[in-house]
Amino acid sequence: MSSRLLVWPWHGLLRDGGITLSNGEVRAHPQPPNELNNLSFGGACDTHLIQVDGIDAITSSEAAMAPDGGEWWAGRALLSGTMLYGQQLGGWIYQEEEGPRWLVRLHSASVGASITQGVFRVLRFGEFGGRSRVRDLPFSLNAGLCSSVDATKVFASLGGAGYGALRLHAVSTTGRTAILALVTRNTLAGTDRRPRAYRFFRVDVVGGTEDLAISVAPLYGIDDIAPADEVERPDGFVQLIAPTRQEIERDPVYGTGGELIGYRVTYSLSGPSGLEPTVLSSPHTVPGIYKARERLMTQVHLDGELPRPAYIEVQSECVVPQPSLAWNTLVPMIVFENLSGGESQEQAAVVRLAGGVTVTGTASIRVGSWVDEVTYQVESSMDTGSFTWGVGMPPNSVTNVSQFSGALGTVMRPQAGVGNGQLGPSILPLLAANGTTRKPICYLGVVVSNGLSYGVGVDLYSNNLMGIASAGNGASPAYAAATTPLGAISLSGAYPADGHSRYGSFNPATGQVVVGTSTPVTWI
Amino acid sequence: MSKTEGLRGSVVGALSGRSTGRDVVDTLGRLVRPQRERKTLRALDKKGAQPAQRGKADWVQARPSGAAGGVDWPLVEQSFAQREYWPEGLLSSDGLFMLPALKKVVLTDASGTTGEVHFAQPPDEVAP
Repeated sequence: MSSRLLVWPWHGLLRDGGITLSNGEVRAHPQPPNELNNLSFGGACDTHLIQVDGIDAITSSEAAMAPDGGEWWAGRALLSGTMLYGQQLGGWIYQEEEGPRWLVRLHSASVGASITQGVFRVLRFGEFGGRSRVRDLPFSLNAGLCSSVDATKVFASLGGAGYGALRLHAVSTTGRTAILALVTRNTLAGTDRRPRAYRFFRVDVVGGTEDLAISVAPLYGIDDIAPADEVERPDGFVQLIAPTRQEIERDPVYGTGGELIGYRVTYSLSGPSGLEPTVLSSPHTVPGIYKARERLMTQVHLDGELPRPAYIEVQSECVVPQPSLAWNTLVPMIVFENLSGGESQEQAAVVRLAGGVTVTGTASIRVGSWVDEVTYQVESSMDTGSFTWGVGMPPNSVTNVSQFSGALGTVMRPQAGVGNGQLGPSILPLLAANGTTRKPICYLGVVVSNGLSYGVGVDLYSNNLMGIASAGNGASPAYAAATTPLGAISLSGAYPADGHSRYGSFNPATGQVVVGTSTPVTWI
Repeated sequence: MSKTEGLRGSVVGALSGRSTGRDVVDTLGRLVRPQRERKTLRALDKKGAQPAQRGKADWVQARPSGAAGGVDWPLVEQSFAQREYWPEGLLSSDGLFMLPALKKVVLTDASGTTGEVHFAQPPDEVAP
């Protein structure tokens, strides 16, 4: 058995100032601070795993020395926010290659209008009996406070403009690479106030006693975080093909003197219809293939020392065929053709336009490593009923029955009496924010505004955990999954009305996840 | 019980009953303080080892001392930087903390005589 110090046996969920130990007992312990409006360098629910190579596993005799409810860990520890074993480090631990450890602490930071400046204070960590030289290493970032445009892009427009805070977003297990984020948040009561990153920076720590150095470089800008939507769609506009008159009867008309003065012509307006190109703006969907992709980078994980962004993303490919429609003549049109020129309608036609089209497509909704492959179709039919041609077509003659099938189940939504322009609608993917809370939501829908859609809501719980719940599907929302750097985990249970204000955290040492707590939560 | 095992037992006992990382630091800090060394007599040179020479010295009023032998107490470490450590100390199980093992300290007594104290290298293995 090697000679070593056994340290820190207390591990578990940390909430309300106590660790829930493996034996169920709760041990008092400092909780990382949670400031809703003035975001601190360490997130209250964030976790960062530290791993030290070359440490022997805990032996059975060592394990036997652990106190009740406790457990020694070998070669690893967990930063809760930026706290280690209840002490606020204010930074992270850098492990020099085959060398000592260093504390890299954010000594000061100032987020200005367009630039952020700060100082890292670096000193030896974890060695007793010696005094380390303190090094102050300044840095400067090429971004400052969040603009109103950027706040809108990251769904933090309810208080997020004109604010910015520097946050430790990710740290590699060696501490040699870290990701800093400039973050903002919504501030209004009732909104989703969890941090939104609008810039990411990469920090590299190299060297040691003689040459320790820190470099900070831009990693992802706002155009990477919230890229422009990618849309492919058919060009132009279309309109309904109007009926054409088919002469079915022609009778001579004589004047009072017995002379031929014209003809009484009977027309049918029956015939095929559909959509035809037009130069005018039109609500009708142009038949063709629609592709769209929208995404938002919400997290950056470190795979070893390599940054790996995590997105909320929705993309779709939708096929809208030409509708098959037909005009039916219920009462023919009768027209008097005057031989001296001109014509006059003696009887208006009564017609009916009916038919339909089936729109099909596939979509994928991705939240981190969680993927929902969705198939959908819209059975779209049109029946105007009888109406007098030339007086005006009934405007709301379309019935759409939309069906979405994905990980959240099958959602079928009939929608009757909608506008004629909704015949054969394209399915639009949309990554948006809830209008009230600004919580991010992915939609697939015909008409998003009335909730007739397939929706996936996302909770940005921490630096490495996102929660996924159904939203806007016509049923009570429910938890579906959580996604972490290690993969996705299935969840279940009703999603609370104030779910956008709840907390969650991921334990990268054990893979455990907790979501939906009413007070801040993390792991140690 | 070996010295190292006793030390570990003390640390474990101290950590188990405490609640904060500051206590960890304090506990480890207490344990790293240099141990008091047993007083020893200065070794005398072999007779005739040095050539005959005329001696000269400034007379200094002797200070009263309760110490016996050739060391004029107290011993004082003049320079922290002169300490030397063994490459391997006592590493914590999480791999983050190192209790350094002293290899050498340089001490000066009240008469200005400087001497070194050498410590043993920690064993790789300890008895179960």
